[in-house]
Amino acid sequence: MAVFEARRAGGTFTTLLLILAKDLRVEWRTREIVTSMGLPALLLVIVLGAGHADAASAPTAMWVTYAFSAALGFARTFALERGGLSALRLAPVDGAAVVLAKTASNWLTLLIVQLVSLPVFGALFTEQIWTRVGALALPLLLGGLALAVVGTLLGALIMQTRLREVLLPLLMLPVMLPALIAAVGATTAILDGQPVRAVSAQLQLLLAFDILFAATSLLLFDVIVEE
Amino acid sequence: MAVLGANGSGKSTLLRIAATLLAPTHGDVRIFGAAGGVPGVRGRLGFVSHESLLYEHLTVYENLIFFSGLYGGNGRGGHRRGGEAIAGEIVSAALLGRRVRLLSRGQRQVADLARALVHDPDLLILDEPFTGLDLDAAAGLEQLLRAQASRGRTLLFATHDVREAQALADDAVVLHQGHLAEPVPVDALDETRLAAQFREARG
Repeated sequence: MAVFEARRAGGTFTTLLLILAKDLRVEWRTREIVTSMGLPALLLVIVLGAGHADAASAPTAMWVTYAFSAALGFARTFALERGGLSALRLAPVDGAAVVLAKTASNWLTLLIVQLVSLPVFGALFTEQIWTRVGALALPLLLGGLALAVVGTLLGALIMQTRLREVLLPLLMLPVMLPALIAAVGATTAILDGQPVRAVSAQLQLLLAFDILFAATSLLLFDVIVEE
Repeated sequence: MAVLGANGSGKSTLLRIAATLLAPTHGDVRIFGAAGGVPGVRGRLGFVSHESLLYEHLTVYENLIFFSGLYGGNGRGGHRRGGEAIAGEIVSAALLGRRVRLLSRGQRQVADLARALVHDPDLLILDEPFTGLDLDAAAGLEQLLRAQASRGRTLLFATHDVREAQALADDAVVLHQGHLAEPVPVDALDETRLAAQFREARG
């Protein structure tokens, strides 16, 4: 039995927007995810910055911060649904719209954390973050998307478990390793002053990673949320 | 139609299968003559669970608009009209603007009923809808359900209370030790015999 029914053509995008708007409204009121991501991120930046903080250590510090805050926050993605997921499954909606909306919502939340923490990284580690912010956008967006896609998929997988806040980092970080290495490599090169074309291999790897896991999410989501 | 059975007899499981939320381990389910997974079937079902399926941090109005959008939002305000129609009909204006987490059990149940009706379903499935309600709230809900039935909507609900079944249903089926008996008119139900059967099932 299909968990989510296929809707008429053109309905998926509308459903995606409806769920995304609902998720952002709930998040705006509860601030559950952004708090569980933002506060640890800020503390981590300060602790890492208290040591040997320079341009060389900035990329690693940035991606350790983003990965840990994503792993902490994304565990709440489906917890916020509570009974709502059953009601979503009852509606004749496309499962793809649900998974895409959840991924977009997580990506946006992580983007907020990235945007807020960038000035702190700039102040504590290297002023290159200010001057190279345009070029940095690419690895930050693609790496952030990788975290959101994998975090949403694994978050759905463990939503019924009691220890999901502990389980998500354990599952997510090993899966994310290739993408994190590529993101750190690209960020390092850009902060070293290299042009964007010099990191095209890392960016392509991040893009391929995003597409692979997005496709996996779309294929598996129905099976994962089945009761 | 009422589904009667002792606690733990499988009433909720049966209703979740009928609502297409659970797949049967064997056998198949046919709803309106079609298999449960056939596109279109869910659009004709409304389901009120034992626990609320609403978003606690949204208002009742926001929940109704959201869910009616899922059932046919066309981006031109059609879903908004559907949500507003059912909201005005079932839920009082005072309740519409309140967040779900601030509602009493009875108010939640009414809001959940409105959610299940936003798409004008032909079949309304309710899992123990009166559990936890005080007398006033139960009477109010019963009145709302009667109004739905009088419009030709079919109601299928689970209960362990014969009087609830007799108040609302025409027919009843009894679920006992995993077996579903043939439907009987509710007036033919023997309360004393059923109570003994339920006690036996509970051990």
